[in-house]
Amino acid sequence: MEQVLVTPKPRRLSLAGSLLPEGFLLLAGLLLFYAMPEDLGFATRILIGGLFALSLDLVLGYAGIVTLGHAAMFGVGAYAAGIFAIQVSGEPFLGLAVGAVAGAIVAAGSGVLVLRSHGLTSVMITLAIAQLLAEVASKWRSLTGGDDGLSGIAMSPLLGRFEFDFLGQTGFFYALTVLVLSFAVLRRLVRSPFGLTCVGIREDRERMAALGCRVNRHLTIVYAIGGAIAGIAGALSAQITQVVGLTSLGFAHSAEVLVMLVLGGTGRLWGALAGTLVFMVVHHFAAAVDPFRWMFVIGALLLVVVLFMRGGITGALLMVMRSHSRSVK
Amino acid sequence: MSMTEQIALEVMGLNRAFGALQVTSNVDLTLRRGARAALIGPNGAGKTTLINLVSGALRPSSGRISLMGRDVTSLGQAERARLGLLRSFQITRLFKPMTIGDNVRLAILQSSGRRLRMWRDARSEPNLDEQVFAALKTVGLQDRESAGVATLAYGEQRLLELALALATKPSVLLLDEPAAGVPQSESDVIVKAVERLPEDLAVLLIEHDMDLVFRLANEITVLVAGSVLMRGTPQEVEADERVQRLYLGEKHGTH
Repeated sequence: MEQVLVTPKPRRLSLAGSLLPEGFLLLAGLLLFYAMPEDLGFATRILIGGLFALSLDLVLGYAGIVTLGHAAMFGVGAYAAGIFAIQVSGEPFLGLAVGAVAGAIVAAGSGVLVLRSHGLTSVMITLAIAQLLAEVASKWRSLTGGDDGLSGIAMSPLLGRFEFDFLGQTGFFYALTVLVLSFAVLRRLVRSPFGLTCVGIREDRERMAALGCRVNRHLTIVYAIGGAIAGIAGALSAQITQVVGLTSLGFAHSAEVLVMLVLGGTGRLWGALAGTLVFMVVHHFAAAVDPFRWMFVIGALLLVVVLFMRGGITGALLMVMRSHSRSVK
Repeated sequence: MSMTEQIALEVMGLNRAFGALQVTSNVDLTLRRGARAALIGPNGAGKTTLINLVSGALRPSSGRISLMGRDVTSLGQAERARLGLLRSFQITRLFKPMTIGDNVRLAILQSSGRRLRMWRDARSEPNLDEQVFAALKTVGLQDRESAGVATLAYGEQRLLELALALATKPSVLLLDEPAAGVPQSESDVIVKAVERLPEDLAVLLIEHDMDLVFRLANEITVLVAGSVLMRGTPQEVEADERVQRLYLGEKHGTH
């Protein structure tokens, strides 16, 4: 009985079943839309922030590349898409592609330095590169608008039909669509041989090299993919808000996305989204109550998560769900 | 088959110094296809350095290394691994957050050039399940595929370590103390697994435990202070006075 010996294959899900998480994300997005119709700008920022955090999760959560300069890819993507819209074409999807390419180039270029060094040196290089780029954007006023920011971005209607309206409905659904599609791509990517190899490198670089993995090349590719997605997030932000400021490249932005990811939980994709939602909602309401001390709430939250919830909010949720299902059995 | 075709690994005049310290001096080593060789020597003899030089983790100061007739001296560790030169680690280095099956799956993907595939689920790659099953079967862990690494006893972790190196069907295996840290009660399983290694695989065993060496190897190279003191059959090595003085006496006495 040869058949008995072979371990059963994981049950293959139907197409509808395998797209369940994407469906869930779409639904959550729609809920967001109906929950805050007066403040779609804020809702859209959550979606863009979520995409940015997803890109960091791929780089940090899966591949283990620690970075304090992830805003470099977001910011360059935003400036590239904004400048492209002003000087070449207001076509949104073309602009996204420009943002993606710009983010990927920054990542692949800086990857040569970041990925060949280790530990603190590597982290400091990520930080330094983002600071350098922010400085360039600040000084190159003719192209970027310098301290005043890049303005005058005018977008063509989406798909030639949907104008970017004053209420921000088009922008919201545009961002939601890009987020859901990117999420679908990332979910496949992290389960692929490529993604599994990233996790192997995160766990033990030398072991992977001993097994035949070209570690540096692999990391460069995943860093570039993360850069492209961060660039898309930046491009979305430029197109929808129609301004790009220096803060998009700033250290605070890099630090914030890291906090969002750690809050939500690394290496799980959902964590990036949950962390962004919690961070931005807390920020929104706490800042409304006390615009000077809202960081206190975030700080306390981060402390609780780091000390008591390994794996972040989603990690804790999973643990509760598991112990619940065990007690039901 | 000509002589050169039968040689799996050839190391010629290998040297390596760390600063003024010569840790490997003028080492020659030849492994025929299917060899069961052992590398022994007292602590500090430079065994680990030699393994690192041969596997490609370290670059030699001078010398030549060829694998299946091909000069690999200038190639890195990953390239050598993909050409069939694999090593296991003395300290267990498994991928802890993954299942036992995924550990092996990951190893196979590295050698087959499939590690850059981005779209298909790693668990539904064609023919991969069968290869994973076969690799686990060589060490008797085939029923544990979907369990986590943490569920394995230490001896079993050593077996999985072996399976990772074997999964890619290497032609040369550098086996760094396969039974290190394993309690006596479990070490028998590992010896049996090593005895079952594919016949045409050339094995270089680096080992402290002389009983294990005499059980598994039929040719022994003795390394002392970075250079080869002698080589021969287990009987010749055991009978050699210098070896008895330098190594065996001390070892057998303390064990």
